[in-house]
Amino acid sequence: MPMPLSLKESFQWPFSLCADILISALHDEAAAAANIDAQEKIRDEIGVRKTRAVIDMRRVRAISREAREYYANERTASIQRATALLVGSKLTKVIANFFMGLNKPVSPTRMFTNPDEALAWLATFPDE
Amino acid sequence: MTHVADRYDELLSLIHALASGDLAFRLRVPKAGEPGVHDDLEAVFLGLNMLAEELEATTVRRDAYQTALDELQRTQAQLVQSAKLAALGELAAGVGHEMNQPLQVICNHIEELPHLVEERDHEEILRSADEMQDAVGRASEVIRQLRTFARDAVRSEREHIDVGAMVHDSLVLFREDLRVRGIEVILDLADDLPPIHGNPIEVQQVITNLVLNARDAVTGRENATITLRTSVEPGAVLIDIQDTGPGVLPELRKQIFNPFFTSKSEENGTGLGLTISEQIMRRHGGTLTLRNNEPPGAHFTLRFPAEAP
Amino acid sequence: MKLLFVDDEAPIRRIVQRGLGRSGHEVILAADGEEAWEQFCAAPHSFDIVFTDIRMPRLDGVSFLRRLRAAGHEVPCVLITGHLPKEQWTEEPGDVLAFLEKPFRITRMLEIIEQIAESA
Repeated sequence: MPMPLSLKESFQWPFSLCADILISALHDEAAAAANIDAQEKIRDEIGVRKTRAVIDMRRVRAISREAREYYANERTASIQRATALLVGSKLTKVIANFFMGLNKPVSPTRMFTNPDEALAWLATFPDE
Repeated sequence: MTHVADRYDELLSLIHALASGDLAFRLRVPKAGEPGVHDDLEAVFLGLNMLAEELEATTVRRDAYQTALDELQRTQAQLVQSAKLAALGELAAGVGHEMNQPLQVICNHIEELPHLVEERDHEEILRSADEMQDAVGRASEVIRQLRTFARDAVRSEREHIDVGAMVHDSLVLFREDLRVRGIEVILDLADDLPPIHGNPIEVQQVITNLVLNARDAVTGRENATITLRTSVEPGAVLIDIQDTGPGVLPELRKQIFNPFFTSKSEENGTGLGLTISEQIMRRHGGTLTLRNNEPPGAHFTLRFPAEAP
Repeated sequence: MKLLFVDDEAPIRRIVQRGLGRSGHEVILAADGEEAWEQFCAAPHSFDIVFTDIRMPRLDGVSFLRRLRAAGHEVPCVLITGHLPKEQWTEEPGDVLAFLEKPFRITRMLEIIEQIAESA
């Protein structure tokens, strides 16, 4: 698959992600499930086994514990090959750190402030 | 620009709330971009909220574990109690068997007495009296054994125990039962066995448990034999209980001391006998071991430290 | 009446023979199921009642009764119990006319004999 050059184009790219869904007032387990549902659909449409996802969480305000746990569970891991978390403010960094440190997602997860670096990192994971 | 330092009061209220156990307390996270709110402020406040959330969850989990643990301990206590009751049932049955015979003898002799008196058969009357006397003796022996079990095991002090006598006594309550099952009992008791120091009820319990296991192992088999042997080694007194049963399968040798392991059917075994017996032996500074099946059958050895002279 | 009394304890056999003998009954004794079988077969149609204990070495009471019935003998049988409550019996004793619980009185035996004689 050809590598897109900008984040905007990445949304049409095989490996998602729909940042809009992430931004809800209270990011709870239901929202997390919905997000993973969406990823699963995209994965099926494109025909890959697992997605390499850029999660744009720069506008996230809060995330519930249950949502964090959901993102770290087996279902998510079975869909995501690798996950790049796109953060901006200190607040979003706090959220990302909590997720990575306390919930310990199974699939490789890393935090980025620069979308290009995020994509570059994801590209190092082979197609599946 | 509002920094964290401007909002110490709010921070302190969170800290106080958590400390006092109100783990649901949360700060209001201001939005960066709100008039003059610094980036740090919202990050710190959210971070603290998330920490509080983790703390709350951990506490809930811990409480759940504690409840489960309490429940398990209660169940365990019930099971131990149930094992004791089962043992008591065995005991009651044993006493029943043992008392039947003497009572039968006495009963029938008494029935006969009027006839003998009428027939003036003095010789027979005296003979009857003797037999009744013997029967009463046997019954008394059984009662005496019961008293041992009636004592409060927990409060019982440790004392000197004559091991040979104790082995002998353990059989009193089961003599009839063993006889009726066609089980031969071989006693090989050493003379001059040094006494041991222990809780007589507990030691009795262990011996009885092993004898009952042996009994169940050989019942119905050809050549059903239980051998009880006492012996002395430097610093130790040993009791060996051997049976001619099927023995313990090699792969099960370690498991038999585990709680709730049993090869008997539901009604017959709670699976706690050997576990409790081993615990008792350990408390007495001794050991309960299963030897190899040579010759075939189970062979358990109780090892007690001998009293210092 | 001629009775077969089977019990593995000598003192009990002796006293039962004497007690029932006083009332004019002839009592043949056996110490276990095998001996009982031998005694019975020696004169199979002469016995009026069989009393047998359950737990005995060699051949137990229930097995002895089964053997009797299997051979077609219809002699009235009384089972002497005392070891286990009926609910705990693992085998069905089959066709038994009465149960005698240990410890039993000679007078009770005489009553049972009376009942069986009347119903015959």
